[in-house]
Parts: sequence; C-alpha cells; structure tokens
Amino acid sequence: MGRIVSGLLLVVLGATFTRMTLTGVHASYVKDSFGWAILAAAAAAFALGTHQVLATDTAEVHHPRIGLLFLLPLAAILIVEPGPLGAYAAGRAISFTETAGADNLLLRYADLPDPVDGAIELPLPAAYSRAVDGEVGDLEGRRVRLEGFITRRDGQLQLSRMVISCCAADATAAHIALSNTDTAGGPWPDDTWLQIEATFEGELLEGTGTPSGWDIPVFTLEHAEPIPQPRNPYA
Amino acid sequence: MHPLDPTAETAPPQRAGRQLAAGVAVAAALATVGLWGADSGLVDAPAARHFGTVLISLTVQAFPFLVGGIIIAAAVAAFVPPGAIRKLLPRNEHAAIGVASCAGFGLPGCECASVPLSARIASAGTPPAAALAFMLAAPAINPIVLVATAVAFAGQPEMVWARLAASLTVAVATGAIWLKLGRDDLLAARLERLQATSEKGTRRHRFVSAASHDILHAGGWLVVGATVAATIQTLVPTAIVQTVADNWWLSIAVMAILAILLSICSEADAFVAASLTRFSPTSQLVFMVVGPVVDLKLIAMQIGVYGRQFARLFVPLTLTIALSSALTVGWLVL
Repeated sequence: MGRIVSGLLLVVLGATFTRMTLTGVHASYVKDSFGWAILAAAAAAFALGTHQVLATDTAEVHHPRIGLLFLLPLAAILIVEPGPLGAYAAGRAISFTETAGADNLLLRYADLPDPVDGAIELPLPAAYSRAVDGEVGDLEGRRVRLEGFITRRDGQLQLSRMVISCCAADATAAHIALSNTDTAGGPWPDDTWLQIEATFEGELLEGTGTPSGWDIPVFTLEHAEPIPQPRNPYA
Repeated sequence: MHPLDPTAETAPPQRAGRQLAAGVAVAAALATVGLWGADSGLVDAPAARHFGTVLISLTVQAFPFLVGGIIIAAAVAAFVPPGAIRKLLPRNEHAAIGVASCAGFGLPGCECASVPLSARIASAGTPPAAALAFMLAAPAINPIVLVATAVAFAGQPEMVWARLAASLTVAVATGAIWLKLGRDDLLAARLERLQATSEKGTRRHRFVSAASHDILHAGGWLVVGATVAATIQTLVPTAIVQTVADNWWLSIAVMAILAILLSICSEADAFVAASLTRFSPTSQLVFMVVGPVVDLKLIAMQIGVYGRQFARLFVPLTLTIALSSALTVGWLVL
C-alpha cells in the first residue's frame, strides 16, 4: 500500500474516531471517561495521515497491507452501528460477581443512599448484590428505583444491565427477575430500556441467574416506564 | 518491511506477505460471517450486532495505547542515535543484559519497532545478548503497556506486577542464556551488513513514516485479534468456552496458541486477554507474556532482520522461557 492510500486510511480513521467521541457514541463501546484518550489518538492519526498525504520530502515507503483491516471496524462503526451490548450478550455473559475484580466492584456500592421521591436509586448490580448477599442484605421491603433493559431466561422476565471493567469486550452481566409485570404495563420485548420502581421481598430463584447458575433475586414491580437508552448503557 | 530497518532490501518479504494475506483472508471471512451473515440467515441479527459491538470496542479501547506507544517508540528510534544506547550500558556483559532489560522500561518500543531497533543497537557495538534482552523487554514492560494492563484488569492490580515480573525475567533469562550459548555467529553477517548501510531520509520523515507504518501494521493485527475474540464471544457456545477455560492445561495451551496466532501488539493485548473473562488469571498472564516475545508477526520480523538460522534457535528458546516464567509467576502471585 502506497503513501497516499495509507495516509488517507489514517485520516479516515482519525476523523471517524473523532466524530465517535464528539457525538458520545463511544460510550456504547468503552467507558465514557475514556473519550479524551480516543480523541487525542484520533488527532495524532489524523495529523500523521495528513503529513503522509502532503509530504514532499520523502522516498516512497511501502506500508503494510494488513492495515487495510482497519476498514472492518470502520465499516462496523459507520454502516452497521451495532450499538451497546443487549439481551443477546446478557444471555451469554458470566455474572459480574464471578470476575476476579468483583470484590472491588461490590465495595463501590457499599453505602445505601437516601430515598428520592419515595424510592432508593441504585445501580442495578448494587441492587442485585444487596439482595443476594446476606452480609449487605438490607434491601428487603425497601422500594428501589432501577434502570436496565428487558431480557428473558426460560420465559422469566428479567431486568439486566451489563457491567464493564474497561470495554464492552470484557462485559459481565447483572440480572434481577421481575414479578407483577402485567399490572405494570408488561410484558415488554427484549432490549426495552425501563426505569422501574420495585420492592425486594426476599424471594430468590435458585441457580437461574447466569449460564453458570447463580441465584437471582425477584423484585415485585410497582411502576415501570420505558426510557430511551442512556448515554452510558453500562454499570 | 519496517522503514527503520535498513536490511529491508535484503530481507525476504514474500513469506511475511503470504502470512499477512492469510491473516487478512481469515479475518475477512470471519467478519463477513459475523457482520453481514445476518442477512443470509447464517447468524441471527442480535448475534451479528453483538459481534460488531465487541469488535469495535476492542479496537477503540486499544487504539489510544497503540498510538501512544508507537509515537514514543518511533521518536526514540528516529531521534536517539544507536551509539548513545551503547554508551549507557556497562562493560560487563551480564550487567549490560540487566541494564538493557530495564532500559525497556524507560525506552518504550512496540514490538514492531523493537526488532529492527535492537539490530541497530547491536550493530553499533552493544553485545548481541544485551540487544536481544532489550528487544524482548521494551515491548513487554514499558509504562504504556503496564498502564494498559492496569486499565484492562481494573480491580486486579496484581496482574500488572505479575506481567512486569514475568516479562522482565524472560528478557534477562534469554539474554543470559544467549550469552552462555555463544551463538553470536548466527547474527554476525547481518549485523556487519547493517553497519555498512546508512539511514535514509530526514529524521522527521523517518519519524512520520515509522509511526504511520507501525500504526497500520499493529492496528491490522489488532483487528485480527479483536475479530477472533469477538468470534469466540459471539459464535462459540459458552459451554465449550467454559469447558476449555475450566481445564488448567487446556486453557494454558489455548491461550499460548492464541497469543502466537493473533500477534496482537503488546499495547493492545491486555484488552483481548481481559475480554476472555472465563479464562483463569494465569492463562491470561501466559497470553500477555508469550505474545510480545513470540508470535507470527515477530517470527516473520526476526527472520527478516536476523535471518532464518537465528530464528530457528531463538523462537523455541524464547517460547520455552516465556511459558516457564509466566507459569511460575502465575503460580506464585495469582
């Protein structure tokens, strides 16, 4: 691949990643806070590519054709736009409690916040671990407000959230089971984003939580409202 | 061949070209199945979307580390004269191996740049054993790689220390064993030829072309790795992945083979390792210690720069040392 083609490839790469960051789309794939690093690298790629295309002080250098493989993720970003992980990934992923870093993750949810408008707002994984883990299980009978998307396991309606430690490729899943769905407006199709208010009454479905068989807590729905997918879809 | 590699004219590019072509074909086929197979009914649409999401996320996550590491490496290679590095090293050969290995920490190089750079250093009078130790250390233990590892394994800081310890051991042990073997004759001819060649172009031009060459080269291999990781996550039944991951020996073997085949740049490999969430920390460590030392891309480059006879001895040697080191450190720490 010659100087012009490889230069243009770097320019397109830089432009695509820049647009991705400025529109906030990157939060569907990596941590939202990582945007600045992508932006800086995209700017460097853009500058290198421009310099290559415009360079006059040069002997011809051959660039490796394998670089053309960048067209794959570029096509995926620009044409397919797959969006964040959803119900399909949630059905295959291991539980977020099974990763080696889980203890640190659980610590992050150590304090129970005060209720707002009659319900405690929690990240879904926090609600899961408080309900399942007897040590921190102070959730029984409390009304919580959670956000997540609809998934199904063996016909059981669940609210799920993917947890990433770094990017979508290392995602693990947190699920809670929903009961009383009909009176709250359900059932909803898979991948519907909902904000729910619900109460945990101590019921656990044993061994159904993940493909590897974790318990899953049942939350009784009191109110559910479809919401647009949040900018940061991961917990 | 690499723009900083003055042996480019004499190296056999066909073999590397064929390997690249094969890599391109495999990745393209997999990606076609994953991304557009949805329409042909091969995979259902959610699976195709899932494949796309994983592929994009690995590429985007690794890209800043790749670019950062490559720019620093290209700047070192273009602006620091090879003779300056020799002057920093002690005269005692054993001490030189230790210092050169540790210099890998201060002089970051991604592996594509460090192979030709090590040859330059050796041709400027550094003992080959020390130059080879530097070649193995620079891509494995530089700060950008360690930060990338810390980010990828958030919540498992021991992974960073394990990687540093295991990779540094590989560099020092390989250097010491090479000194003992006394087979510098395998590279003498190549190094003499290197001494005779002069560098082409202005420094700025060498910097720009080396940096863009390496971004495209390492980036292409990153996409190969991301495609395979996405395929494992999307298409392979979770029960099979779990069975392999649960078997200690099998998981180690699979991760070592993946590291060799995928040829991911060291700045990006931690993300792929972390994405294989079902695998044990030790097998993930094996992936990250073997990859920067032995993989298809590096074998091709070592043959190109140092010659076939050298690679025939050096590749099995480094693979054995890397596996033993990673397993020992994993057993001790993880």
